[in-house]
Amino acid sequence: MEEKGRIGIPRALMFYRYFPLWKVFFEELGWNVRVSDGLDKRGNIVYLEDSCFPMKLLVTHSLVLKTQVDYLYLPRLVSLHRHHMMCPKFRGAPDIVRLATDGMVPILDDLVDLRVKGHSMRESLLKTGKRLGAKEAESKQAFQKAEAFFLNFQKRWLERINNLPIKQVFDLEAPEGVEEPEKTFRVAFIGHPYNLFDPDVSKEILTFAKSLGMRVITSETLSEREINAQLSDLSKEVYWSSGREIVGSLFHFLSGGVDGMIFLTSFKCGIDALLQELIRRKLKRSGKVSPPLLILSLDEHSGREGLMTRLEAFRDVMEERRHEFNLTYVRST
Amino acid sequence: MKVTFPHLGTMHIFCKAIAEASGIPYIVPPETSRKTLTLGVQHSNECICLPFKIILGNFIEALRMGADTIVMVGSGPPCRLGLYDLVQKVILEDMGLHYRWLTIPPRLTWQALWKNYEETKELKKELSWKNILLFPYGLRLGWKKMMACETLEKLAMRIRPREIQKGETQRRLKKALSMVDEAKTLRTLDQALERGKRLLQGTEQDVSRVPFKIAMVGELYTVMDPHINRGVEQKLGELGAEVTRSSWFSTHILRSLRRNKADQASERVRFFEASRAYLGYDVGAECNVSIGEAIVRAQEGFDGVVHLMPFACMPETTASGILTRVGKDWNIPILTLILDEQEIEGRIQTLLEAFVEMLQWKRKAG
Amino acid sequence: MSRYKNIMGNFLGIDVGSITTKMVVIDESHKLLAGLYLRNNGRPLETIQQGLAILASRLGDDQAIDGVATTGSARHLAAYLVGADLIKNEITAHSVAVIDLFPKTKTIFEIGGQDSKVILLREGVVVDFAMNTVCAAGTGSFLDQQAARLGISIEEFGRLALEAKHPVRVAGRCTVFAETDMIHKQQIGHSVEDIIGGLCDSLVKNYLNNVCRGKELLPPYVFQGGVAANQGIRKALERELETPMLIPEHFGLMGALGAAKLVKRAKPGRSRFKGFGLSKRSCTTRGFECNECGNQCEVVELLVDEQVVACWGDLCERYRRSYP
Repeated sequence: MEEKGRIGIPRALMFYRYFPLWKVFFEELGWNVRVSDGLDKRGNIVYLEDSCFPMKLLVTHSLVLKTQVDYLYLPRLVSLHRHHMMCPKFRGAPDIVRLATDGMVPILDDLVDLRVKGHSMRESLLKTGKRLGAKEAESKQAFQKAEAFFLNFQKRWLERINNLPIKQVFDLEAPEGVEEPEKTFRVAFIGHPYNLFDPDVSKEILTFAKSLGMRVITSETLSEREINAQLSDLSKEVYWSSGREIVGSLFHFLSGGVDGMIFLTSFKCGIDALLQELIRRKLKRSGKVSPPLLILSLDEHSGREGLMTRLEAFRDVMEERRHEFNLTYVRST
Repeated sequence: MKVTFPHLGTMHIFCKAIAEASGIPYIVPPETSRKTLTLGVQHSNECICLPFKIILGNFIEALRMGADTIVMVGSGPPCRLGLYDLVQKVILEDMGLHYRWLTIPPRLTWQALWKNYEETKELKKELSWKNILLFPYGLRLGWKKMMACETLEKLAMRIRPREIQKGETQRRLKKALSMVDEAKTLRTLDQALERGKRLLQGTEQDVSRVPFKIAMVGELYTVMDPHINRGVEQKLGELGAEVTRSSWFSTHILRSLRRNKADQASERVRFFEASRAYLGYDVGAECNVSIGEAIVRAQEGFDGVVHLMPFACMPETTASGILTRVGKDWNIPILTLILDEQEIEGRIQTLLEAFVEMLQWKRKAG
Repeated sequence: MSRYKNIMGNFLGIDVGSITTKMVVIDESHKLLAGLYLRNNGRPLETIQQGLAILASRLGDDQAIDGVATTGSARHLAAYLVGADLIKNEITAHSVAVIDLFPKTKTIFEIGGQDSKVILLREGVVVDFAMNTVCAAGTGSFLDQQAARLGISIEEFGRLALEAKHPVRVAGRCTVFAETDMIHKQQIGHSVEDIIGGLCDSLVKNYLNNVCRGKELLPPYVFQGGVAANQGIRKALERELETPMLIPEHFGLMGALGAAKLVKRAKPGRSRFKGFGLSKRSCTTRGFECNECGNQCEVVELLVDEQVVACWGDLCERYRRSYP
């Protein structure tokens, strides 16, 4: 198939979950997909507004792409769940990027809002396909392939994330990677995917964790039911889907199955700030003995060294605890 | 039972009226002060927004004074306001404070009523028939007091830039508001309002002045509460600007009851429509209205816009980015003030003085 | 009228910031007769008195002053003390000083002790400005602290920064982060010069990203404020913006200069200035904590020769007053 042109996808925000789906869809339609690289060596970031770090990265990446592509793909992600929604900043993200890029590149910003009929990810992509001049049947077929690829990608998620260097997890051409030797600790990493898997945000803390003998577990492996079960006793419904994932998975892992939990938060993330308080207080009130929790707040100013020190100390805590309680685990993976 | 409610602008005046007229015991938390803020800050984390911290501080002070039932207006998604109560409850419990929490739903829906049912059932046991019978009268008195306060505040906003003795309007406003506060019945309230109006109008004024017209936009708690915004409305007025804002209790209550009067509805709708050139979707809370109002005010010939937001406020952060462009496109100076717990009165004063001076330069240059 | 015709008027501008006090005296033709820059050391009253004494010794005790203006974050305190004819915010004062000096300026970068500002001018008129509100990361005190940690003087700091070959990346949101990061960089063997270079870069980036965020920065740029003395910062700014900075001769005194010009323009009938003799009188403050409400304000009274001349510090303005 001849190449129709280039579509740029900024390496930011929900790229860190849906990239495989988006990429395959556009490639199936005959478009070349270009992804921005990480930050440059000097770590220059564009500040359009004083937002959270991931949002600033979105603007920075979009600016890099604006001269290299025919379109920027930046769906307006209002909701990715039947009932719950994304943070309000997602709603205005395409507009912010449009301002930042000065209208130099058209933005494909079709709405995704799973709470309303006609705005599922599939329908949104079909609309985008139409804007790109694809026939409906073509788009449907492309989505089918993309979805199949995406589901398969998700199935191999834990292997990917543990066996590949973090930078390559979303490099779809990367080989599967080598099976890592058995790890001493199972550690749940909790947080927005764009905090955990963006090396510019997390300073590759996952890579370092693996080298310290930790097997990485993430909330991607939990079912919605498992998450909801942990949220039922709250006095009010948490309405952000990412927030639910964070609180739900955190309390799920607290009840066992891991040696420790690390919650990566973004400084200035409104959701994280509020939920952090909830989690801390709830933990304190429950008074149960549970695996240790480390909360790390990240932004463009955090130094890698400080994070590494804390991670090492955290491993020592887990070790200590294991001796103290003489814990043994039956490992399934 | 002792009911309490947070401080927010003049809210305590009409909340108190409702409780008092219905014979329900209440405690008005001490006026928001440094101590309130310190308490709020101490018991929450740094990136939670300022209104959360101040309201939490109000509750802690009120509960320590013996209140046992918190009445709080609920709010909905997508901003954090909607989950204030969830987290504040956990914090208060953790602090060992005992209370009951009654959320007034932001929209009167069956689900909201059902959710409140359990809480109300408990409460009903403690309310006498007399309380319940008097409640409609209390509501009416409260509503009228709220409108009276707004009338006085709006009047003060007009008089302040023309006052000869700096600060006099504010002194008179305080007095006028306390007259409204003291009125016990609908009839005496009418009289109090008239006296208050006269008191304000008695301010010695220089009517020849042509004050600057400045609109205050932004997150609603920050716009409405002088403790949160460190008196921006008063400061601007005393610097010679006639301030306008569209956020009032009546606007938001009528909006949530979906019983907007035509003019209010059309005003907000107009703001919202104006924002469409910059925002393709409703971001939530006041974001779109902040942007739209700035545009409309520029069209109406206002001299400037002051945009208020708490540090790390999610919807207003988006607004602030877009407002920079709006200011350029519409040639209207926009000053964004980010508020947090630090002592920044002096800085705010400096920024506002420089802002008004800039408008003077602009006016002189034609 | 004719009696005064030949007498030149002199105007005093006083800029009291959080860390330093600046004073200038200019004449009718805007010529700088005297200027000084003093550290407050936490005692602004004494510093103002000391400044007045120095000015008197340079100009002569009997030097007539026809107008006094104060500016800076402690402008009100200074005004009560010396008897000012004009109190002006520092943003306006800085702009006025620059406009007279470099009329074509489009952007003023002003980095002081705890405040940093950016002022945009177009055709000699202020059109936009910003000042740090909640964070002091992009200000001089950040440099002071880091220099102290490295055990070098702030003067040496600027010189060493120029010798940096590969400035390192230093985290710089707040001084605590910077410290951990800096210690680490030292431990892994980076040279002091490179670390200092990195600190300068970090301050400039913070300043440009936070204070100047969203502002249209156009040359000619004027860079002033106490930090303009720092060569390292100046170079870092020039590197980031790829344009040379104009640095006024009296870069540290611009606020005071602007204030003096403004009071000259306002032409007060009779100055309220209490005279240079103030430096010999006893000036003290005494404070008490008001317990009327939870604000627990520190109310401050200013006394000159045991007489209360002003009172402030109360949020509710219960006690606030000044005596002319």
